[in-house]
Amino acid sequence: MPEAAGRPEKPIHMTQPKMQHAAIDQYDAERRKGVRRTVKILVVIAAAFFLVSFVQIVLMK
Amino acid sequence: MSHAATHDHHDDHHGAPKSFFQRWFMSTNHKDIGTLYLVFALVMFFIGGSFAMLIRAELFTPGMQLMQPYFFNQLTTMHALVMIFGAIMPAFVGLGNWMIPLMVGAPDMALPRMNNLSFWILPFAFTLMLSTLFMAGGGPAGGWTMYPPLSLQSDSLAYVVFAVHLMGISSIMGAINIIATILNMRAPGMELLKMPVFVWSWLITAFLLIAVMPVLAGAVTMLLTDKYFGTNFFNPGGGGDPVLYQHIFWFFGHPEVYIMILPAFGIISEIIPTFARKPIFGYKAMVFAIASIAFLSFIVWAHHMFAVGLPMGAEIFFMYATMLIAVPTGVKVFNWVSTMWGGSMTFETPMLFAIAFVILFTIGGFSGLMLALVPADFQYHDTYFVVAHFHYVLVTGALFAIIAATYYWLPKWSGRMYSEFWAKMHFWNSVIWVNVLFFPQHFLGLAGMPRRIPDYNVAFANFNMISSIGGFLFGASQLIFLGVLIHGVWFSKKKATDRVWEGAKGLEWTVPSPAPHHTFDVPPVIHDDELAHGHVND
Amino acid sequence: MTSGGIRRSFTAWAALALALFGGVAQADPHPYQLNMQRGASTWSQVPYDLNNISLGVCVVIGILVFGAMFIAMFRFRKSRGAVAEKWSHNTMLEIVWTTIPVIILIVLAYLATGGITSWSDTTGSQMTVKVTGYQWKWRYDYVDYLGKPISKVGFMSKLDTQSDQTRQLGSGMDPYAVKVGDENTYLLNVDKPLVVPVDTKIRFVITGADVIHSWWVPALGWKLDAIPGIINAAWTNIKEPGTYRGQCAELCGQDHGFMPIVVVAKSKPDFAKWLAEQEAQSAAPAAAPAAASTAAAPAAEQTATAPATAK
Repeated sequence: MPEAAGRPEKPIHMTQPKMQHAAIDQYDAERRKGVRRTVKILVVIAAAFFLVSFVQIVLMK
Repeated sequence: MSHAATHDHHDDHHGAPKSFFQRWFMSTNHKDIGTLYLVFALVMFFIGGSFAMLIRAELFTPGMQLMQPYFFNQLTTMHALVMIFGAIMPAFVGLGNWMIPLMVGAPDMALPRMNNLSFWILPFAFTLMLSTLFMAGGGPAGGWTMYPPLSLQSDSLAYVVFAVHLMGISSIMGAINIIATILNMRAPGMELLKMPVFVWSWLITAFLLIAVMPVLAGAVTMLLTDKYFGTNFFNPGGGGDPVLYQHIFWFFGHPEVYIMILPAFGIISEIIPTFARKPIFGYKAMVFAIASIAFLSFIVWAHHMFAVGLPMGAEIFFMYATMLIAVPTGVKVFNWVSTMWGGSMTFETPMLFAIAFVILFTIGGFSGLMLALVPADFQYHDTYFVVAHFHYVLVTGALFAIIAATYYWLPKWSGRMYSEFWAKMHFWNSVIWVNVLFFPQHFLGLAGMPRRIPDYNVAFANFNMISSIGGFLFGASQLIFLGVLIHGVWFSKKKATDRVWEGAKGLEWTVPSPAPHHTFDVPPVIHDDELAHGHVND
Repeated sequence: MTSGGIRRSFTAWAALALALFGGVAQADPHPYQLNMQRGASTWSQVPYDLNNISLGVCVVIGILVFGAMFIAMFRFRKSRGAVAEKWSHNTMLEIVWTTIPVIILIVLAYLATGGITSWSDTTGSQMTVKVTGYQWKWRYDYVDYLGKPISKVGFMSKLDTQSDQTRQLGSGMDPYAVKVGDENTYLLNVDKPLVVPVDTKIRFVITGADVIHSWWVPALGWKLDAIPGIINAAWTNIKEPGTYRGQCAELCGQDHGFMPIVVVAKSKPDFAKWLAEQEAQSAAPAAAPAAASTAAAPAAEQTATAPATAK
């Protein structure tokens, strides 16, 4: 199985073949950016629903 | 950060930290946090179960034998709060934590430190809530729904509200983490429509959590300000409206019901194909059914309120919307049966629990359909018929799915096979006694026994005694479960293979048993044949 | 499958019920009661029928689905040498099992909608009673009868003394000994029941004084919440004279289980007599102690005047 050159051999905990190291850098960066964006959106949704529960008073009265 | 640094960093941590405190209290590892969640849920399951035993003991015969009515009300309230927020929900979060990264080929959750925080809030929240039982005024006694004005009479309201806020924050953080993981951390090639149904069900559930936990937080905050800060949100004397609370609460409450059952659908959709050795019938239909149930859950809340005197138009709308849920739910049940049809089935314990789930959850669904019919609900509402209904969907539904998942994945977690004999003993005892416990409650409700009463007319005596006997034996059966778990985690001599089950498919079965502390540090290359749902064309 | 199945299962169910309870004139609830009662009002048949029809539908679907499942479990066992097939899709089947439930649901929804419509129509009532829920008793105020306003007929109705003593923790008293005639009335009897005429459309206006309660007499076919600050309305038209018992159905605090409801339905002349007595009592303040003593008299006396069995 191809491993990045010069990388110390570690026990491989998978029977599954791994991805090539060259692709990982970009994959990692994209992942981090994606997580940040997702969290931002979700926090906004949560806050909006919290406020909406109070606004119901105005809507229903 | 360069990739070399990143991966060297990972490589340093192939084993778990040696120190007990470091490993379990400071953990950022999804597997350890998953274990913490599951252990916490098990503890809460036994605490909530002991409340249920006391309730059934008082209801064993007519007349008050053991406790004052007020303490009985505390027990029913606490039983519900502990089981819902302490047992069922954390158990599903624990399963999600353990399995989602393994199933999508991610090294860990997207936000590991927040993961630690969202777990460690829970023990404090529940200590706070359970401590009210030992206080002078007693615990909350207004039902888990906390309807004002009754809940405002309770001295422990502030404690419960704060505990609910903590649980809510924990759930929201957990949900954010799960969505961020599923959307961003999948290994390349793990497309959304190749994900296990369990992952799909959690993705949808997490959105429900994010939408409704803040609403619950809002509702209980209004209770708090009504009691302590002189507001009048729900106080009719000050121009407020007690029914408004019920609308807000059930806008949370009904999606909450599905938060407790959708991951169970996911689990069953993984287990049945494994033991039928046949791909799941209608993968896309299954995912779509979960999504449409989730959507419908937002527009049916007032079916909990048919007896509050809603306008006729509202009752008709909420009845139609509620009945509509029967369609996607029916599709799921038919698909599970079709998955079995033409398979090559074996009946290990996870499969037994999954089959019991399909049958008994469907019975709970039937009584749900009956409850949706407004005129009939005028009779059923707030009787033991409702109690029977939601225990069929929550105990033989959600809880049986959690137990099935535990037996299914335990060998992967511990590396040892549990005792199949004792697990089957657990199954048969559970499935028999749970029906002795809950089925007669349908009759009690139809005959006119209201729920949440500590004592009853002698006409209800026979079925209550049968139900209590079933309850005690169902409770005792869970001690077998505890025994099987302890044996299967530490003492079993039988090693589990990596694949564990002959028909098992999916990334989680490609890692060794027990799963090492770190998996998929480097994303795996996905082969569709390896996946449980790799070749979807329907 | 639908309508024929419904009718067949309904007939089968009705035959079973008849075999179990047929001809037995028993008050509800009774021991080993398995199904909802038919009720005693003109409307109470609606929930009863809906209950039976929907139960029948569920039983038929259940037999089909679970039957298919058990057949699968026996035919497709690995131990019988079954080899797993590969298919995971069948468009025809999926269309069928989406359409059939929709049709069944439309039928049920149609029946239920009719029921709601008739229940919601409180117009044309000949009598009005105001019901107020208190922690933990009910208050009944007679507002009008046959177009004439009634003044000052109203009273509290709470758990009878015998049940109340028996239900105390450690009372040592036997719940089975709490009886009116042959009927066990433990926790289902009050000191002063609500008295109403039969064959009269009675409008109830229901509200709560402190917390939310729910006024429920199963024989009338419905329950309705008694909410502080809100006045709910519902109606009933009782067909047969009798004593009908119910309980509070919304958790309202420690004695939620101990605030029963008793409705005594009298023939129109008997009711007119009763009402005249009540009006006379409240009109003469000097007679107040007498009224109090009547109210405190054992409920047995109250209910004994009514026919002993419901329906």
